[in-house]
Amino acid sequence: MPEPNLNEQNLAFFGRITASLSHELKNVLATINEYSGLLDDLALASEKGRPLKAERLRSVCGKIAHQIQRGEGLIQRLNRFSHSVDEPLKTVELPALLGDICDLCDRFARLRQVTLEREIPTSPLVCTLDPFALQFVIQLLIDVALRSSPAQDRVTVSLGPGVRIAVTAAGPLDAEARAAHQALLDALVGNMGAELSWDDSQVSLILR
Amino acid sequence: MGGMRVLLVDDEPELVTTMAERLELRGFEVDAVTSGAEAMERARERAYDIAVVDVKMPGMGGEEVMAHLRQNDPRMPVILLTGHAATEEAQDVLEAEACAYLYKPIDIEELIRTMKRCMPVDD
Repeated sequence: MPEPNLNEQNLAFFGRITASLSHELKNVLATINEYSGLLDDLALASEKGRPLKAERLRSVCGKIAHQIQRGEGLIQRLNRFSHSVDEPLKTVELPALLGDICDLCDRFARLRQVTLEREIPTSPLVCTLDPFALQFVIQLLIDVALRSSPAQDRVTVSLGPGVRIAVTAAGPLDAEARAAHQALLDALVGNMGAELSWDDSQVSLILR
Repeated sequence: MGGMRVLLVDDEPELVTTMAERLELRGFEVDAVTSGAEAMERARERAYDIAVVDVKMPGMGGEEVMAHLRQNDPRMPVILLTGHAATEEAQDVLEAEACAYLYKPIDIEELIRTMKRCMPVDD
């Protein structure tokens, strides 16, 4: 199997994540656009004599505020993800970084109708590593697990003792999905000085 | 156009319900659902004049929904909604033979004009 071109693959991963986030942002803007249009419709109806209740207006404004918060969350994720390429080695809070990549992969799971669960302790765990490479590896492992799990089921990402990040599918890991990413995973994990351990329905990344 | 029965399908619940409300204010009869499976269920229960369907949804995507709807009614006009004019997605949309496709955010008046244009002319 030919050696993967890491520069190309890194760029493709960056593109995958930003495309997914921009898709979600578009939905946020489209929803706000509908609420704005609805307010306009209600104002027009009021001008024509239809009673306009303050409660209705407050409800729509509250929903707009909620969508703005959702958009703000997406932008924050995008910003943190973009900054993960700033330095090749960085001291990070591992639980927070894992939470971020799970959030970024949520949409991929939703599209497959699979729930992405987290079992990530909130206690601080500081590591010095390449945050972009770690997120890339975790995304690939989640992808293998998603492809191995039926709709309506779940994939779990957990952080355990020995700095072991496990991704567990709802069924045995799909050999084809694993093979599709194996060379790239080996290269990325090798560069990180980490190790992968494959089991029937679980794959673990052990950070040293 | 008043009384036209519209099936609206998008996995963004707030988007689809608000679009439905705005169309209803303009005299349309709208059923709003958030998945392809729900759309199939509704289409089995009643006839629609037109369907407006998001391309990218969990499970059954817009193209698949369109194919199922047309199994019941081969002349059913379907408008596809897409978030991006990204090459691959746009290509999929073009190839899906929808009667029209619109990019989000949707201009409601443009949607209505498109729905009118897509309605079959009576023989």
